[in-house]
Amino acid sequence: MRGLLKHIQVIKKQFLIIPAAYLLVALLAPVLANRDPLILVQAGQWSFPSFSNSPYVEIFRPEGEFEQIRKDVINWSEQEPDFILFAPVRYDPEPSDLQNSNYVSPFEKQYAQSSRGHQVSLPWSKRHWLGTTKTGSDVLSGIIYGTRYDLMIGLGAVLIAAVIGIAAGVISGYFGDRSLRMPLLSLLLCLLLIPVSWLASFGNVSVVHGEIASLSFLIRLLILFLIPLLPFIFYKFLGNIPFPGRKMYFPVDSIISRGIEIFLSLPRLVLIITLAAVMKPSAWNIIIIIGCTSWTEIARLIRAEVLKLRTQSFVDSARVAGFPALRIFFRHILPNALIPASVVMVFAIAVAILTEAGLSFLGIGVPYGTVTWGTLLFDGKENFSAWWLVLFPGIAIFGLVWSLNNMGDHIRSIYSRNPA
Amino acid sequence: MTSYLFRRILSFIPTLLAVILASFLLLKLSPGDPVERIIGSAMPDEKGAGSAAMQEQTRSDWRHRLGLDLPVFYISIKPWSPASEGGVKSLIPVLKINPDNQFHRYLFGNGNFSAGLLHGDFGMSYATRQPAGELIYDRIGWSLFFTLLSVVLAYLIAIPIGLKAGSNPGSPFARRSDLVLTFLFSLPAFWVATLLLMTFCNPDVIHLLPASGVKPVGGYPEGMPFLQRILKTIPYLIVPTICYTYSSLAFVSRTLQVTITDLMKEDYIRTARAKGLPEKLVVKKHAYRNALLPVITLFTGVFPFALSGSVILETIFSIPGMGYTIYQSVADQDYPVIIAVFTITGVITMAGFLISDILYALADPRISLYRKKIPA
Repeated sequence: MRGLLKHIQVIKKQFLIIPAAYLLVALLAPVLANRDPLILVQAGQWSFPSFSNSPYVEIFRPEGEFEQIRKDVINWSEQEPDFILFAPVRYDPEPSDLQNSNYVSPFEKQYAQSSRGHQVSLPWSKRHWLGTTKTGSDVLSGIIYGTRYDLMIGLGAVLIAAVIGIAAGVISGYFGDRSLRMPLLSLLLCLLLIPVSWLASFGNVSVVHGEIASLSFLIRLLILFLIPLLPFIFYKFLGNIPFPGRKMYFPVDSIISRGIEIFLSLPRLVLIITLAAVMKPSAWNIIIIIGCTSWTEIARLIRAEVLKLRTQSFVDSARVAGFPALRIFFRHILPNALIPASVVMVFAIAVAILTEAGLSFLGIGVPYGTVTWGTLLFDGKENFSAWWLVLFPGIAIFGLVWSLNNMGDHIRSIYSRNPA
Repeated sequence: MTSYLFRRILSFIPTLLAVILASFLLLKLSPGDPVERIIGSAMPDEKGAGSAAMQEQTRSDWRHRLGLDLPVFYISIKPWSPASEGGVKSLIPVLKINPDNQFHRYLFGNGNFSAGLLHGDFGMSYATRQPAGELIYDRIGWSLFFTLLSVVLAYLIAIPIGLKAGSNPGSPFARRSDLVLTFLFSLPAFWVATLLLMTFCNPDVIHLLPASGVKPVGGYPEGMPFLQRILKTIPYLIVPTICYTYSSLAFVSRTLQVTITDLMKEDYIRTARAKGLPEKLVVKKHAYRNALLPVITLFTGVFPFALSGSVILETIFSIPGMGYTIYQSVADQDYPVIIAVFTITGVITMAGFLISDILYALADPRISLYRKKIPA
């Protein structure tokens, strides 16, 4: 953890400001844009309507009774609380403002319905500063909540890619072709156990429909991968058996490198679109799809770094000092390999966000009703006169991607000046 | 050299197999019953007609014709005891070998109804009931045209910029080009495309260029000479070409710049300087030539990038290419066509890799001498 902080401290402040601002907007989204008041004080009682899940809000009357009013129909200008604090943007992205539907420009006159049903012009505090969409959703609010969504997808996808990439890169770089020795029996047993684990997790209809039917997908996945790994976990025990237990070399490096090569030659965006079309549209699926298709760069880099570091003198001296292999690995090799990989990861976040935006721009992947930068652009391409729908979300995407690219360049220049 | 070529071409095979397996798996995983889709979408009048028994007959006919009643793969795993009994026995797998199966038919066809993937048959489109392959072969031309045009243009512009900026790092030109290239690199192409369309192809703002398609809506007038046809087509190509080109341009130029900056620190550059060569000659004769080698490899990065990036751009500009096809098919949930596009793009990408690797080996004698490893 301390190493990570040190790593971040080296980066110049100016490259961190914009990504940090995006992160702040994402974290504070419900405070920045909310239909309901953040703080409501009436008769000395504090309440926080925007953070409660109830669809009603309790309004105290001067007579001492209170009334429950639905949040989506309440007219706050008629109420007289002691103190009321609204978010700067007074709209949620989803329930739309029907008075201002059908593409209202930021500069156009915007309307509201008065309590008597007349159309009056919208007060400044409730203005749609960046216009509205066809259904009348507020664009600014959509951009604020979209930040949350897009950052989640970018960071989540890169996290998945990093886990897969680091594992693959480290295994192939550290063990190489000629140092991982395992009993032959382990491999044979593993091959035999793959169909068993398949039957136990997904394959067998009776098990699926029977008592284990309630098993969640994740546990099944765990069973699927754990059972074939058992012979490798008990390799010491299996190694005692004379003939089939004889140890042999596993060319892990060749296997993983081949896998990376194959993966690299698949057309990435087309693969993502195909997967997104075949799978159910949801944010998690998008994260998983993008994560599982972008690990190759990280794996390649980590592999190359580990290969380089393995022969460094400080690793040799640690070995001579008698440290166990795992300690050398986690304390000396992995942290040093992670530094150059962090550059690729920063770029990968930018690419993941661009990919998501592109997918939602096509209307693929995100479930209907979710508001992201890409879906706003998707709305914008339907109607070319609604320039605000294209310009502002695009600026949001560009700003984040540009700042991430600059940050990546900067980190690279730091570590290429004084290599680790 | 020959042995390197041989090895490289041999390594093409597992990748090809992986693409084919992946596409088959995707086809099997795609939701919905193909028989229902084919009957439902292609024969709307037949669907309601006839008795339930007749409908059932049609269904099983189609199921048989498509080979859906066969096992999925060459090897299938069945539990020892029937599924209903449960217990430990139902967890013991039994391997079965099926010479005739769905994957085999997917690859080789079944003799009369489909010809198989290896003969260019990708199955039948749910939406139009046309062969999926035919749909795509008609459209592959435009995708390749724009991809190649943009890659060539990007190289023509990017190489001089990259060389100039990379050979004097820290100079005002390098700093400025770095700024502009990072800017261009970060601009999402689909956003720029929409903005350009909104400004230059919008009757409300500036109606300079046509907004979509690649030729006049009504087609060319009868008997128009070829040259005039080209002139008529050019306005349709301007905006798409800009959008296709600028992002690959930034990519190539940036990579080239990094390469040449590293190269200038090499020993042989110092030697060339030490023996008193003027800086101009050092850069021209020693640095540029070597820096241009990786540009060939870059081709492998740019080509698939441009090819798959075209999905979004083709959709925006309504260019009748592969990307537009995949977009339409996703909207129609026309899985055979989607997967056919995936397979064809994969094969083209891999061919691009193969060609560039061979070119590289021809250009750089060091490659063919050593066993090829993944570049770090």
